[in-house]
Amino acid sequence: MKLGFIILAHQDLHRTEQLARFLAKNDCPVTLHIDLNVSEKEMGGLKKSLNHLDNVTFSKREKCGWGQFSIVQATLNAAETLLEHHPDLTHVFLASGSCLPARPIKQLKAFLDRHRGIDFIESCSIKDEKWVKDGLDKERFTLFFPLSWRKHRFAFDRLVDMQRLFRIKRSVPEDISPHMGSQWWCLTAQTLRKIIEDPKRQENDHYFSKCWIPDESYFQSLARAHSDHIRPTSLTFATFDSQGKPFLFYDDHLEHLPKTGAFFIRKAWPGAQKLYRELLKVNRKNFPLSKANEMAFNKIFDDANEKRNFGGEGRFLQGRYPHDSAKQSGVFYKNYGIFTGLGDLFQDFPLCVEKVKGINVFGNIFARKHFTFKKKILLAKGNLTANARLRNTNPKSYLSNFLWSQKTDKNIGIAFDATDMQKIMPIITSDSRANFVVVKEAWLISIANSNSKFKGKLMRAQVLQARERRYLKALAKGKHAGCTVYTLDEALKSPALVLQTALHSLDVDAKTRPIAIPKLADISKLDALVRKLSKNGVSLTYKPIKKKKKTLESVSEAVSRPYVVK
Amino acid sequence: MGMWSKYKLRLERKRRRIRSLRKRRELECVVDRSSNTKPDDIYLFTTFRNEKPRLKFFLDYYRRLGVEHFFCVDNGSEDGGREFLEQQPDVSLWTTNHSYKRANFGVDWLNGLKSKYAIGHWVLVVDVDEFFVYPHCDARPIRALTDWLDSSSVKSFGTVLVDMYPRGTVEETFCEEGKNPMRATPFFDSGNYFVQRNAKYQNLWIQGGVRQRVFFKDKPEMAPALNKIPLVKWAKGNVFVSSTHNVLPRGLNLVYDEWGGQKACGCLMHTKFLNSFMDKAQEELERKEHYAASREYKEYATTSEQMWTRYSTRYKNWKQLEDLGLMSRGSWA
Repeated sequence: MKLGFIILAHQDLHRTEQLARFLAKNDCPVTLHIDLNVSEKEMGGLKKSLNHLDNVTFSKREKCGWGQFSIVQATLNAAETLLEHHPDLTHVFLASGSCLPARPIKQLKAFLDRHRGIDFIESCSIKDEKWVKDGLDKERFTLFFPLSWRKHRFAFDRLVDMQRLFRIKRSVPEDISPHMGSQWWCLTAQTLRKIIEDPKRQENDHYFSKCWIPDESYFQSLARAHSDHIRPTSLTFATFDSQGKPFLFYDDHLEHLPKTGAFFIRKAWPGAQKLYRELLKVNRKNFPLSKANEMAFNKIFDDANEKRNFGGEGRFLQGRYPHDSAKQSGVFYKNYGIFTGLGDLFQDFPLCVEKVKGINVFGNIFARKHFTFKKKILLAKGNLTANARLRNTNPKSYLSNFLWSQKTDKNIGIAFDATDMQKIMPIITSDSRANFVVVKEAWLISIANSNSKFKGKLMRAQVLQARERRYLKALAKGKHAGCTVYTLDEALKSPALVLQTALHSLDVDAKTRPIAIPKLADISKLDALVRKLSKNGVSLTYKPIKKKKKTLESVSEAVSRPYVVK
Repeated sequence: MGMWSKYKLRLERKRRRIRSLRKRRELECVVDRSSNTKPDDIYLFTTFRNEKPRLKFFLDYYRRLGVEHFFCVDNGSEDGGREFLEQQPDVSLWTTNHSYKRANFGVDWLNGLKSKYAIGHWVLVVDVDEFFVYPHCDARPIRALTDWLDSSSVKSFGTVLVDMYPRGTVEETFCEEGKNPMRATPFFDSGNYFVQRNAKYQNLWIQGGVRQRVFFKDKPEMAPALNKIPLVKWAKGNVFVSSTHNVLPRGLNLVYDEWGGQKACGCLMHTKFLNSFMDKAQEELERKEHYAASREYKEYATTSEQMWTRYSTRYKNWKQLEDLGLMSRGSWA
């Protein structure tokens, strides 16, 4: 077998020269196509440095424009030159001036030898596969594209709109079934020759010259017409970011290269000294294909796209500050709980749920004046201080910092009451990751247990009731946050349910796990207070149970025996 | 934003530019080696005063990252820093004894120099105690970054200023000349940064870090800004407004993603808190040449609290900063 190379280059010719020299030394004839936009001086320098190598030739130069037929024309010119000078070739590999061999050439040769007569060209039929990530798809073949997209972007788009409006549709020539794929291929000389010497070549060229990005469809379609042994993969690894730019390879990618299944990579950053030095070494070791792990290799680039488009959720910093209407504009990257009234209902909340696996509940970090993250803890991870002034300057950032720095596998819940700073409410209620669990009128319990006189209790109750009303109203307005509201009646009847809901809102598995129910707060004085309040004109949804004795019994039972629920 | 406010910004930009040209006349050239540079060289601009012990490492650090030429303005140094820089082959140096404050804290001087020398170049504008950390900075030079930004048609690169501090007291923290100050003050705060949008210039306004936590805890809204845009492809008519916090035209301030993703961004490691700092704070207080009536320095002089806590993070590398969400590689794989 004999392998030849076509190299298309338009910049950084010193790197192209290195590549050409390397290939020529590996006994592969090379034909270079240098863009006509390259200055004569540079061209002269390149020719001079390569003219001692007799298997390097230069083809007729074209002025190439991105997405235009000139690139195909350049490839055809080079193919003609190469096949003319080296009629004994069996395979032709199309590479760009910024490609580099990921595996040694002799490994590539052995591979092609093993797969004799097979054309390696990615070619997907437009009918059944979606190869194009973004932009025009089938219309590439059915509309007219006389303008350069790079130079006349506006006119290009309007022209497409016009053609759609007037339903202009070009007919595809009979023998051509449109296929698309990566620009970089490795064809057998036989197939390539058939494409070049096609009796309908003029017709084909004419048709494709008005197509959009023909370098991704000309050879891909025609190879299908001329060969029956196509393997639709490219031997050159090339991948694009979400803006459509090819990913570049740098020195630090070197260690990952054995993972690729390809033989060439595109494209290398011209400044990557080490990459060029290592990959163009004479005696390189083979990277066995059996050890390739393409999934892992692709992941590097998929992750980068993922990071760019969706990364950093819950973090607001120099690279990321989403509008409120943007996707993922919330303050945390996973679900978090907002618990209202649980502190009144249970003794020692949130410390009492400390033992529950997989959940971490913090105190009222939005309390108006003084607050702690947990009992006596004034400093959170990430050096966030429990400083109300600091928090009030920017509650959204404060919450996001707090949640971000926790960074544990545990789910996070925060106690939050109607008396807390309400400025944060719109941010939480419009966050789909927030889950509210509210026990209405739970504040009655703390009032009942306070030592103040009744007058004070009454005033406090009135204030809290008004606050709670406002709070529930705000909660009802919120569009995205999850929300469960219990009345105090319900909560006292089945405190386990409240806690279960709270946990379940954070972690779906929590419901199936048995948990110890913490001690309820002392509610012995509750009914008396509620009766007295009702007499004084405070209307409450909580109704005290009439038979006093029975209530006490049932309550003492609940208090004395924390039970386990499944 | 309406036409009128847009036009006002344009006027502001022109005013600042003319002002910078006027202020440039205050500078006296010590040595100008800019004719040795190539058309695509990466430039660094800085002003300094009495920073001799830091200069050697500063130059080494940025040379290693691939900065090709340094443009320095010396504001009346008396410790031999000027003489030291004069000897360096890749430094062009100016000196002045005029007021730092009246030159908009040095911004006018540098704007003036940039409009003369830096048009068409990528410029990095940092102080001598700031160290630029960007994605992959351990393996790729700045040129890799600027090439990538060029190919993405992006003309500015944002960073957040990360204040570093020692474990002990500032008085006992020494850093020998030529040594890495990031080693002497290896700690930083990872999770107390507060962000809001500046409607006028469209940049983000970030406050936080150790300075807000310790020195500004009673008036956090007065804490210094930490958003910086130190790397800009300089075009005719560009001006920095206040330090490198914001730049005009304001399109250059849009270094952040607004639709739920994140753009590539970096950090500036700020190694202010060395032993030399205390004397400096005292001196600056007397000179009154710093921002907002040297408010910051007043705080430093009166607070003697320890900065280190058990939640302080020790700096390792850029990957750590990325994991902490302080910077991101964006789509630069």
